[in-house]
Amino acid sequence: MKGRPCGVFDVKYSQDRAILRTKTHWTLFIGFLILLFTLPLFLNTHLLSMGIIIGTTMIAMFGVQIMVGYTYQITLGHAGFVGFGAYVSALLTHHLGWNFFFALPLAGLGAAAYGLIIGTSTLRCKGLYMVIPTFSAHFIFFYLVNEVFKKWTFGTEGIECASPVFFGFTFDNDLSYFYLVATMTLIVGIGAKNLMRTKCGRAFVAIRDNDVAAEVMGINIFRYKLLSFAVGNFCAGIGGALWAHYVTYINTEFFPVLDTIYYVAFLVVGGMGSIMGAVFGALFWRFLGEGVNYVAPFLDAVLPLSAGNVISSMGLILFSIVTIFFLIREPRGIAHWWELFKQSYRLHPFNY
Amino acid sequence: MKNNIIRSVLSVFIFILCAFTVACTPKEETTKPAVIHYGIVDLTGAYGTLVPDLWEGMLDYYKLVNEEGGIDGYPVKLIWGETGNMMARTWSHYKRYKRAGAQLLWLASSPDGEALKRTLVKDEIFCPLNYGQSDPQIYPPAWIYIDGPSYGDGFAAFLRMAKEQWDKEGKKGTMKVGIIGPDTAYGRAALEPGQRFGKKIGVDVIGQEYTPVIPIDLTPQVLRLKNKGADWIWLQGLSQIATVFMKNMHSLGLQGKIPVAGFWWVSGADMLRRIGPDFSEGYIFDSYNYMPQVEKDHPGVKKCNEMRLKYHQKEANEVYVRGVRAAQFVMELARRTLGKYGHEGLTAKNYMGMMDTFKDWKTPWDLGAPFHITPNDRRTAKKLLFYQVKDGNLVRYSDWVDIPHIYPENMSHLFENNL
Amino acid sequence: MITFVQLLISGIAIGLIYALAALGVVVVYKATKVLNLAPGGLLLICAYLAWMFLVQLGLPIPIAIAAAIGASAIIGWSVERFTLRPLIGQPILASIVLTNMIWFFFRGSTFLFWGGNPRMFPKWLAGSSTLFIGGIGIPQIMIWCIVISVLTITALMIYFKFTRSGLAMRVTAEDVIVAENLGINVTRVFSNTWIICLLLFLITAYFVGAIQGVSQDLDFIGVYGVIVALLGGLESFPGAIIAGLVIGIVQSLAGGYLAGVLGGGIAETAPFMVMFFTSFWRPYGFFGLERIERI
Repeated sequence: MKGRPCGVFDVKYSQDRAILRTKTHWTLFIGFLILLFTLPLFLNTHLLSMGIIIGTTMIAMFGVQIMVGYTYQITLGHAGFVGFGAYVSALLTHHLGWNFFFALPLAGLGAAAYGLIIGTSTLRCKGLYMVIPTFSAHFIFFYLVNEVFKKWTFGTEGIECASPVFFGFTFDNDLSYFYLVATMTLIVGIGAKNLMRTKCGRAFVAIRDNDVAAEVMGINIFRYKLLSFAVGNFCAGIGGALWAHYVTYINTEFFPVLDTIYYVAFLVVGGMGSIMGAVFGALFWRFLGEGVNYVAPFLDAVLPLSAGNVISSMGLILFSIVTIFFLIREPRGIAHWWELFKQSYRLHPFNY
Repeated sequence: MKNNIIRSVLSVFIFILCAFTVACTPKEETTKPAVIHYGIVDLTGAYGTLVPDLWEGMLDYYKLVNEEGGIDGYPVKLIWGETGNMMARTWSHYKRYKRAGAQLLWLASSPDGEALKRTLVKDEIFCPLNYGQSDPQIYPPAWIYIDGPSYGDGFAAFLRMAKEQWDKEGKKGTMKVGIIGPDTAYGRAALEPGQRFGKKIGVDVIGQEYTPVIPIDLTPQVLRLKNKGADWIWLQGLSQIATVFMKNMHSLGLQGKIPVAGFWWVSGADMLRRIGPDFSEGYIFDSYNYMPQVEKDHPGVKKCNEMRLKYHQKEANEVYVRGVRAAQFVMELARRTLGKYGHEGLTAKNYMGMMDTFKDWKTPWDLGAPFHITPNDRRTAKKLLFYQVKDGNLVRYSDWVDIPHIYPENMSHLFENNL
Repeated sequence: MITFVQLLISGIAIGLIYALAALGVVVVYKATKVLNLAPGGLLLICAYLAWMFLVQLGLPIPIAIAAAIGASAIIGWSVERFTLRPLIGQPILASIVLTNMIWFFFRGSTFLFWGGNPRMFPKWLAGSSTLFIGGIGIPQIMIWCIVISVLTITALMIYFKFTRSGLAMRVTAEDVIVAENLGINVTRVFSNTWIICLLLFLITAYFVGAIQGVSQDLDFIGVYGVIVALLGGLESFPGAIIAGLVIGIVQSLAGGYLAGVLGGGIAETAPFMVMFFTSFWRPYGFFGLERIERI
């Protein structure tokens, strides 16, 4: 049991289970909400667009967290699942003229259905070997889009995605889209957090810790593994659809193979097994990628190297070195620091 | 102990960064405001083997212009960002530049151009040249111009040249041309326009064989092309595909029997660097800029060499020349716009308006095909040269060839002359 | 028929290259239980180092080869010492992600020191000639590839089975604490593993570089290396070879026979479809060790 601040006692079960337990919690949470929804008014387009990209990444990252962090079903196909959701929504809006807000849940469900098909391999596969079916899923997705459904997806030419419209209001600038993405991120994040406190979530954790023991305890592990795939990919699909309708055009090159590795990699950097881990992972990934762009040109001006190209190399080198540094410093992820911080705050005067 | 090490490493790192920031703070004392251009480029991703040299040529020319006093006294600045071929990063750069008030944006890959096409129109930002020349970017015309002809046109020019040769040699039957390339937007670029043009001039384009992006062995694809009876093979891929393909042609004993041609991104120079003279013998490719390996005595190429030796102690290669050529064009565009509208008038619309004033304009160093722009036509060059690898050297294969204009049927009302 | 044989041979050539790339992954997994996602970057740095000693510096051939071996051994040692050793005893996924970042680090390094232009190994290495047997062409480099990979695998199996340090590696893989109690210097075992891994990548890099030319493109072969290692079973050398051959032959035959019917992408997708269905049939790869689990 995690520590409570001094003088806070749970007298009801509902108090014990609540996410927001104390007044401070509530104030902080409401303050955060107010900040989240007023800050954009003062941000410039660049930061807003970064916020949107981080938000969509974060939604997909919640999915990775549920699959990898909670259930330990290692997925190296997440970019494919994200793309699947994006394509479902793009096809529905483009060909059938659906409203984006009806297509969005279907994008999630479509990706979840694809995830279920891939997830059947969990019947026998486990651990690192889960890389095989999930990584294959990514390439099968490419094939489906570029060859099988070419008539509708226009193959490699890409497909247009209209900006979302809500009762006559079009989300076609960064500010309004930021609110949309922020709201969705909050909903999915709270949903994921809550899922982990239900029977289903506890079953996921039991499977992660020891799936044989979980089975002995009467958990239908195949069912819950499939459920984990479905839920994780639902998040991926939502994230993908939001991202697709932000850029208003997608083709398969938007979902490169490397992204599948990045999703898991930055989950580990962020911290496995907590929703905050996914949040930190997404923030770290996108901010690092952006920060590197500012530092590399400086290095190019200074380093006297004529043989190679300093800018092109320094982007990669800084990116990898900073990540390696973080991993060596804290293999349990940034979320672990967050936990330590919270713990020391609660025990404030006596934080030993 | 461990903490101390990390702390010291970190502090040194931060110190170095601060030092760099101080050292790099620009100390400009110019009277005239700068002309600012923006660019988005992939230097570390899939295009990392070609684009860095090209970008170096561009940056060097920007540097040279500034050293020589700028454009009519206005210093010129290029702000750019690197993407690693990742859309998310392209997008964040784009938003940053848009916020900074970008009017003129360089692009360097087809996927970026295709993805940004509609947004550029909406945000009124002008892309004078994109180094990725895929057809969907320019049909229907938008605010993107491409450097040289499009991939489809390059292939069509080759078809026209090959057909002329075929007729000259008095061979009978229809000529059959097969394509080989990866299954991406870039690899498919030649197929559909080529088939359309082939029908018009009586060449049978027998379809495309697809390759993995990083192949090891392409024997099946070669055999299928051979069985289909291809008289020519067109390579629509990056050089790692071309190298393996040429090796397989060699090992199957088909080299020289079925001639192979490719386009400017898979130049013979690149092939010679990668696999040497034996395998690349007979390879034909087109280019809209001069190959410095061939035109050694050309004064413009010599100037490129001098410039690169000055800044980087290296000789110029063909991609570098291509970058310089494009940069010279955009400088001239900026000069003309400045002359007509002044510094406040450097807007995307004015830039684009000035594009049509280029008629058969050769760059100051004359590095390749002249810039000739007609209304609605987003291609900046209308001529191509063909080169060939012969006995381990590059030689000219043909003189300037006029490029046919291949556009989708339903857009014919937009363009002046047919073909 | 000739077409079929030719396709088969092409597939074997592809498969052997993938299999060679997979060996380095298998060695590291066998001794340290870390799935090595770095082969792309390590292949690149090995290829560029070999090119540097052979062509750029123009050293005499024996010295150049010795230098390349020495340099890659040093890289292997330092990768282990400075990045992976601090993570011993930490969650295994952290180490795996770390190897992934090593890939990008070395990819960046090759850009830094050698730029983006492709290079070429000297001609005697590039294996230019082709043998024709009954109308079927076999590239010379492929024969070398077969010989070298068979030799390498034999040597590796002998090393793991019969030598003291190979035994130490196997014990370490089983249980680090037991190994330490037995007086095995675990850190040295880890160093040795990575040095062996890098030497294997040097061999692979030479073949890939000879086929494609040395450029940053060839790191994608490393991704196939990881996949083949998984498909063959992470602990098994013969498994890696067989899995490599399966993937190569499927890719080649699909490209030859199915591409006309099912579209061009099938050549790249077919191996993954096969892999997906294999995961139902053999969830631990072809020859992976099936762990009997207890609670």
